[in-house]
Amino acid sequence: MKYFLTALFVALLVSPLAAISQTPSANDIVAPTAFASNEPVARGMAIQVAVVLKIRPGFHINAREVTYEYLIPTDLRINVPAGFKFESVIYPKGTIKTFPFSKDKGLNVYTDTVILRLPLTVLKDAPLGPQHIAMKLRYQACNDEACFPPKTRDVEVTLTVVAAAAEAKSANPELFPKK
Amino acid sequence: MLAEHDFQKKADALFEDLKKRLLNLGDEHDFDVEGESGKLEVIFEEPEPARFVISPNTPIREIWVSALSTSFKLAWSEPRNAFILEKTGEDLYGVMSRVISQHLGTQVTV
Repeated sequence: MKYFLTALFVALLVSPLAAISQTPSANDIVAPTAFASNEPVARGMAIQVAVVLKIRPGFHINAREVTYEYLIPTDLRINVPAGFKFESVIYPKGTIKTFPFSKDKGLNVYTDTVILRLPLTVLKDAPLGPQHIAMKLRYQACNDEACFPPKTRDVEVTLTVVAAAAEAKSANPELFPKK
Repeated sequence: MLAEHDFQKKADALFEDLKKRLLNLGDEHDFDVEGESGKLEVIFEEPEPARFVISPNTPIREIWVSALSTSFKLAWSEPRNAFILEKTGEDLYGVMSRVISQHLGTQVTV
């Protein structure tokens, strides 16, 4: 019953968007951009794609592991093209924060900048040339008072596949520093 | 571009605050912090020896972080009122949190 009432409370928070009419749209709250660890990439290589989510100050999105089942977790789906192997997205841990609408228990959220990582293997038979990795990012953005309805955004990165490993190059070192 | 005096003032204040935060974290996570506003160094013995260097690059008004064989260059953002790594939008604390966490293999928030 308690969870039902809490879910109802959150649902009510989602609907009166008039309360946050002065705020930007859910599209403007999160800016997702994808970067690859290598460009070009060679057949047989293990690479990573980082999807950087820049979250507008004053807002948050639910983390992957949500505090309550009824909250919408951040979710990244990948449309794996032929010639690539993908296992699972690596999500960072969130931060526990309390809000006026959730004083009893902190919520696990992402704020500021979040980096999701996708390990990919370029198979030996991957088609040569530019290959598009299309992704769908789903999130629910909130501020301290209310939440927006969940949003799904398209994210894409292009990888150029080459045959020879010697032609592959590291890219975006700020996102893929080596220990 | 920031005036040199303005850059120096902002960088000094940032380095002072960063050093305080790192010193507190260093006790907890077993790393050392050395240096002043001209250059800060974070020195690790474990899990493997490493040295991260944070320094102002005054001629181009940037804060540079050398860590994990990579150079992170943060430029002043007026809307954010902070030095920002453009590619990720992280401020200096965000970058330091990320690289220290990656080196130690545990989540550290600066």
